[in-house]
Amino acid sequence: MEIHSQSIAQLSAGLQRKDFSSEEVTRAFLDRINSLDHLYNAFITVNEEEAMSAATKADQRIASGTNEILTGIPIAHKDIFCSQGVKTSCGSRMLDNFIPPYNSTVIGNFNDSGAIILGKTNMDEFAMGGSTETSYYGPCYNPWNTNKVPGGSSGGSAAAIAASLTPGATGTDTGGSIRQPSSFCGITGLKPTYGRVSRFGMIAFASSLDQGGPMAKTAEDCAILLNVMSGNDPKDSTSADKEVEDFSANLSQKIDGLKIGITFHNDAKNLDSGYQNCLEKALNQLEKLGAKLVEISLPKNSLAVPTYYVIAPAEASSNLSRFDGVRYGYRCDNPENLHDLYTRSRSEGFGDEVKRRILTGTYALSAGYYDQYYGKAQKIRRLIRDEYLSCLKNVDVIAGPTTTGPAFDIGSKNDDSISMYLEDTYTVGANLAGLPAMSIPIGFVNDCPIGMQLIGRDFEESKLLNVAHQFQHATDWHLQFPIKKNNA
Amino acid sequence: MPITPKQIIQISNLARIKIEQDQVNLLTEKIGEIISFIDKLKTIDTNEIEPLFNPLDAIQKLRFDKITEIDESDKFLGIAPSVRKNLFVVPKVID
Repeated sequence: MEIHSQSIAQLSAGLQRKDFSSEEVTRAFLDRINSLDHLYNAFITVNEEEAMSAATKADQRIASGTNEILTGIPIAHKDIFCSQGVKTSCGSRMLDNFIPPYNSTVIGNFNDSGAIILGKTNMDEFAMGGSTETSYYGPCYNPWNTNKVPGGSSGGSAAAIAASLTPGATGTDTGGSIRQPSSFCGITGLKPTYGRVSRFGMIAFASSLDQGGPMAKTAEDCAILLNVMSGNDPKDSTSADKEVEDFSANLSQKIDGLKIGITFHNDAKNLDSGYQNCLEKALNQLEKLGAKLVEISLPKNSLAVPTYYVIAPAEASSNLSRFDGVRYGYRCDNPENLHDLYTRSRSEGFGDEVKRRILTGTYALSAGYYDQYYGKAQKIRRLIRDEYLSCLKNVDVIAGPTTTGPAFDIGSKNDDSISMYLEDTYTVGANLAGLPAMSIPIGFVNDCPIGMQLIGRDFEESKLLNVAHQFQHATDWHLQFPIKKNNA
Repeated sequence: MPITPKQIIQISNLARIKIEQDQVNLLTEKIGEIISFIDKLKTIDTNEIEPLFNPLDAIQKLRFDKITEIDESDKFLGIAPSVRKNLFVVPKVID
């Protein structure tokens, strides 16, 4: 099997057996990026020289027998994670010149494990979007059909994995930004429980919702990546003080008797028939594996999108006030006074969608409106979480669609914010409730991949990965990639 | 519309974001649509419900008052747009 077609688990085993070296693996992926990424625009920065030098060191580590499972494996990072000495733009003109003097905890953990940084992936500006079209560096294109969006905001990571430009990547998920692009690109992505992965050095969008997570071809690979990403971090006071289990340990466990809550019949009215069909078959497959399907209802979830679009912009308007042209990032030319410096730096440095969300958030937090919007939304958030927790008392996992349909055409939703926001219908609930959730490929609609979402109890990522792995053991949707299909 | 052009100018000033005059009406319409969309929350009865500011209801953790930071000011000043004598330079505030 060619190097680029292999999963992280296969590459790691190959490195261990000395079938190939990390230099060869890293070179193979860099060559693919150099020859194919002009089609997808998945990378903002390619880290060629440093990657090759890290690969040489990884080979020495493997030779000395001090390697870990990810030593010598090249991966990509969403350009939201600060990487010391490597530009971290967050998809924005505001940070086009920002070279962080420190590493995010996530990147530090991967570096310590010996993983290689191939580069930084394209994303919606400041993670605000569901299509990777709001990036300062231009849109990213879906490898299955380059007229379609890859989803967002972690669209660059998803597209890079689908096109086999990297075997795995990091993403972040504030309202679905790992799961929706995973669904659109036919890959596997997991948003962990809030607090599972440190947010230190991960550029903040909405602090009470943001969570970093793994994206890869398989659930098995996501478990390997999550093992490295997770853990309590004294540098992030919201990171959970929970012992990190080995997420790879329970993958092979049978799911006989597992109770899976389905909202399928409530969801069906919003889905096209092709998607319904695939979802029904995927649920049948889970039944064949021994799971019991239990009909559940989450009526409060209909409030999730408007609740999210109060909380997320409000927190964003606060977080993004740090970008003022004074300490780092973009500064306007020849400011007349301090007010002009702030205002022009921000107006020239931010794109339209970011400005819209800052203004919406500023309005929701402004005098006289705080209780009406932000306070109210936080109360409804509790109702939404309570409803999930109540359902999860009776079932182990909740399964349903990840998105409302397959990837949409580039440019088709640019003038309609609400329609773009409704793309998050099935994903934002898990962010508001803080629960772990993942998307796995389950088939195709109009030749574009679609995913099934699995939502679990707090800190039960292991169970989600187990269900996903068992599903992938019995199906081959996760093994289908556009490169293979198009024979490119 | 749920928001007026005057309010848009007011919040853009608060947010330190400049809006060109010819964009005010368009932005009023766009943000108005978003506010109409989130206004549906107003109909929900939330009396007696405590707000959920942290999804896991976590409380702020405390730590011992020990200095853990090392002085990296040079590194951070090194990426600033304008610096003089270890200070960030901004336009004159007082004449």
